Amino acid sequence: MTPTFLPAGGDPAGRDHLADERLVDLALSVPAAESEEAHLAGCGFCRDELAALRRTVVVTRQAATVELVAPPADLWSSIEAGLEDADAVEVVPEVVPLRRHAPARQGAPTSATRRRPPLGWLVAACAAGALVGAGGIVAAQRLGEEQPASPRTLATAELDTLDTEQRLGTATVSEQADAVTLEVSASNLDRSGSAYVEVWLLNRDGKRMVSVGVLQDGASAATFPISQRLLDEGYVVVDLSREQFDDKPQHSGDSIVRGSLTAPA
Amino acid sequence: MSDELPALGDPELMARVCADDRDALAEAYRRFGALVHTLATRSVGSHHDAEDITQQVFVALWRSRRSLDPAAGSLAGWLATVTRRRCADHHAARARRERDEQAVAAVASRGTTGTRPEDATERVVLAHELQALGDPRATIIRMAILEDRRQQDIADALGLPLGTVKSHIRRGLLDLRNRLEEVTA
Repeated sequence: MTPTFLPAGGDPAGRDHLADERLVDLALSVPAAESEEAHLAGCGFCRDELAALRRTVVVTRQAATVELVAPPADLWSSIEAGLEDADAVEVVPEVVPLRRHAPARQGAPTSATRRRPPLGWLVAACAAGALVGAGGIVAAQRLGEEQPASPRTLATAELDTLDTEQRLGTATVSEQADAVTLEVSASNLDRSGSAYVEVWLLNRDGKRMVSVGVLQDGASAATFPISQRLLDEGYVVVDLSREQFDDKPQHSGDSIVRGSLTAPA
Repeated sequence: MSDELPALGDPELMARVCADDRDALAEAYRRFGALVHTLATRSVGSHHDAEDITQQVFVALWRSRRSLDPAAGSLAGWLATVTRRRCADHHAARARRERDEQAVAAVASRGTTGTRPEDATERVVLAHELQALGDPRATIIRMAILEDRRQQDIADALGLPLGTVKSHIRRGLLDLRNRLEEVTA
């Protein structure tokens, strides 16, 4: 049977690779054709994919002996009791890095009912032991609780095009062990005519701004170190612009997308 | 309105929870309660603590509902990751207490498995995924992976076209691989 070589979606170089179906076969110990062996010998991408599939097979076999145990019948009522306090949305949600290599968010459903509280609300809500920066975006502390060293989301923003208000991405400010970072994730950016795309934090006063870094060609996400001080000072609008190699460090005025950071809760 | 919830796909269910639908949270508990509870029980050992953790994880899901994003991962992955974190916090707190009390046992018991907590998470999550698969895919996957049967044999045994069997195996294994990637530490 002729082996099938198809361009795999995940390889940035776009070279030919073994088709998903063949990799699955090989993971299930179907013998490989000579040409497939040869390809695997020279292709790290396919070797990694095959290894991941083989590992999945192994863990699936182990999973066969796992018996799932349902919680006791009365547990739901204790969850409901816990929700009474959680209806007023909390300032510090659990933050979960769901994938190590998160794909760019394309076509994610936008909830019409998703409300973002105005920043002023945050100041009023900080009676629950949170530390408030002047900008209203807080690195809150849960008093009296253990502090696990896991990242906390301080704020998020939808990145929308200025004219059509099409959502092309999101920005997330996180804090972990006192380091604050801004992660920008966007796809289908119109980079035409630009030499590079620059990421800015604009001040809400509409006058000042700082450059945070450059979004590399071909990258759909990047993480930049920033400071709590920037947020406190009001630099809370994320902006991506088309820039030229013109030795002018100022913002070109040509923004692709923009969004205001608000607490995610 | 709540009749349709069990039929909703996971991304749609996540979107409903995100949109403040309490019934959707109840459906998420119905679907994933055993997953969270099993993970917690295996990690912390004590039934009482496992139940506390289960309660906390679903309350946390509700608290974080506005930041849920189906494009970033699955509900099962989210819940498994948060459960693992809560268990880790539990172990860390217990280790600190034991150190403070100068207890003899330095390493908190990690449940009955005696293996790395990360491995247990992966096995339990895939066990959940297998159980949640409908047929014929569930049966096909079991025959291919657990019984090591050849695809043609499976097709013959189930009276299905070979192409159908291949397609289910391909899609099934890729989905399992993606879920595993979400929860691999």
